[in-house]
Amino acid sequence: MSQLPPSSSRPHRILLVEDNAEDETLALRALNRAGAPLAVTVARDGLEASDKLRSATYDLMLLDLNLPHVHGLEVLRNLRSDTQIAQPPVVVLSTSNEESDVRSSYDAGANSFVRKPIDARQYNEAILQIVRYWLVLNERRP
Amino acid sequence: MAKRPKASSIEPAARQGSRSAPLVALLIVSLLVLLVAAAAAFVALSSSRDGAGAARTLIAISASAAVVSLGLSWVLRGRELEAKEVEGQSVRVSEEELRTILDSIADGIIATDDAGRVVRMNRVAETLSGWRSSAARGKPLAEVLQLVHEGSHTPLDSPLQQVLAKGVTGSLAYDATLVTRDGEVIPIGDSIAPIRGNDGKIAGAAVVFRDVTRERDGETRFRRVLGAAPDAMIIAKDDGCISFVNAQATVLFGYTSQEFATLKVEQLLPESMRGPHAAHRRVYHEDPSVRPMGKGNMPLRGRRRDGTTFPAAISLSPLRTHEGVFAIAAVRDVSAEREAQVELERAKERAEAANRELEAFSYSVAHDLRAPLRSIDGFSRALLEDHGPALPESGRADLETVCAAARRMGELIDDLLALSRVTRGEVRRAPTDLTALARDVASHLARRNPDRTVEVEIAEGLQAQVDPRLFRVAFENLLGNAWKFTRKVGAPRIIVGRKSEGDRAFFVQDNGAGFAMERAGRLFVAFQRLHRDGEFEGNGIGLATVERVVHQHNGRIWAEAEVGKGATFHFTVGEAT
Repeated sequence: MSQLPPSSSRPHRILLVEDNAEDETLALRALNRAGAPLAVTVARDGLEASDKLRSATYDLMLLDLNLPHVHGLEVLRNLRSDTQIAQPPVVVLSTSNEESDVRSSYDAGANSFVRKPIDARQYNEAILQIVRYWLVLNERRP
Repeated sequence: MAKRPKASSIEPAARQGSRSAPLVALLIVSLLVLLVAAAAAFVALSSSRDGAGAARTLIAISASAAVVSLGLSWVLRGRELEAKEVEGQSVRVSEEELRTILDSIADGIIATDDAGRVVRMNRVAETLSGWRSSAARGKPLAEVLQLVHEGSHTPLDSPLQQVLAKGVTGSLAYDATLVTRDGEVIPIGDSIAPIRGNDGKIAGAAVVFRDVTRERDGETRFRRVLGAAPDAMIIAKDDGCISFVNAQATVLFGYTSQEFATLKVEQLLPESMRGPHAAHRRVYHEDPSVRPMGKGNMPLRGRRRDGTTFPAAISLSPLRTHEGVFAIAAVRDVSAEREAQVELERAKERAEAANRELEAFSYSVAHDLRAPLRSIDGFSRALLEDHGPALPESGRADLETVCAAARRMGELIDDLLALSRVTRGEVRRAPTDLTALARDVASHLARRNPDRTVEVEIAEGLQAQVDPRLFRVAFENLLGNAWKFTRKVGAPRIIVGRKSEGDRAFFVQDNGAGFAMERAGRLFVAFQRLHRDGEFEGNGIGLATVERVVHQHNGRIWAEAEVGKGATFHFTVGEAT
């Protein structure tokens, strides 16, 4: 299991946008194995996600696409078009791997697209690797 | 066609007539004119094999009738002279000369008086009618010349009364037949011209008729051909006048044949198309050829007698005759085709709507079925991790089974989605390097199964014009199968190649488990598996997917196999449609 580098001053702040309680639990279990302090905030729909983005800054956003009220892609577009908000990298977590979903996610400004595997071990591994990738990249930024 | 009389046959008459030179000279001139006219008719009839020739026949016969009537008028005048002159010798000679002349003519000739009674007949008229001149004399023409319609055998009105009353030339309908005294029926063409006396009054009529069996046969054949045509056939002259229609045309347009004869072709079109058509007609007659009427997708319409219109397909072909070029138009009511086309378009729309629905359905399948599966696997795994030590060994094994089942169902859903994507996706062909594609798929398989060593031999330069995305799916399945079914073999080996250089028939061969050929028919049916679940994993969708990919490229797929020796899957790539 890959380990996250410890943040120099504060825990890495992650915004997890997920409406499904079971998926949220599974995602949190995966993130708990990161081996570094993470501050995970959960938003359960698109509106809540937008509110949270305006009230705090995040090092990474994990975004489910199929959200009630405001679709994940809409949340992403709103974020990318709002210059007042700090722009975290966004990893789209999707149940689907339809080409159209992948393409429109990147078009909307996603940095990564991960299809949630059914196998829990694969799922954990995928989340950890992608989270680590973006947080390390963040650390190295000036 | 009977030969025209030679000049020599009238020589004796000419010599005998030397004592009444003016009359004989006139008769000779008349005869010459008659010969010319008859020769013209002969040429026209013998060279024309179509219906338009019949019109020319009538013209020729009319000319003959006019000339004969001129000659006969002199004879009648001669009769008057005979009554007055004591030395009537010259007239009697002329009478003989006239008989000779008339009898040497191949047409039947009957002269009537002003009441329409037979005055004299020539030999051909006697032969054709079956009446002796002596027996016919004084009888009404209608009794001697019994005319009926060819098909219906209903009596035909002779134009004789009109000719006698108005002094015009008349002719019979084209389908006239003569019933002889013996009851024989002979198709004839005839013409009737008035004979005027010295005072200019109508003294009688000259009826000229002929046996037109041969012309009628040719014409009948022509009409039969047109009659048997499935389309409405209309023949029109370059001035647009309609000269012939078949029965289908009368049914399609609602006009009778007689009504058609008074129409111009433009009247068979909706009013908006009439003006342009007259111009098109002129263009067509400048360069007549076989071609469909109308340009591109311009819809043509026909107009019926009752004013209603219908969508029409019309093709034109030229008919060259001595009377000029006619256009034969074959007209078809394409309402049914149009309706079928509209119905087809509706069906296509429905199919597309159904496809969109299927797409939406697939999408929700992907989401809604996969999410709970993830929970089943995820929470089973969580249970194992958090409480595994508290569970008995069998409980942990049961949880592993739950996880494996969830994963299998996930794969099943993914394969079904792939199958539906192959089916509904558009085929985008491009020059594709199948060698590179197969190598890429094989290396993925090798990475996913690091515990196995499989010798994979892929031929160089496998090229095809295919959709690379779809063929990746096909190779994933074909190579995946080969990989899978060689698991129990000592030295597993997979070959990808081509039957022969440049051929578009490819194959994927393995030396694995194979299968019995009698079960090959079920290979490409979804959910059909040839191996027991425990033997080789799989859901039976892979080959159904491969078959769809091949079919979408207009190709064919088949397999050869032997139990325990391996299987070879052949497929071809067809031309794009």
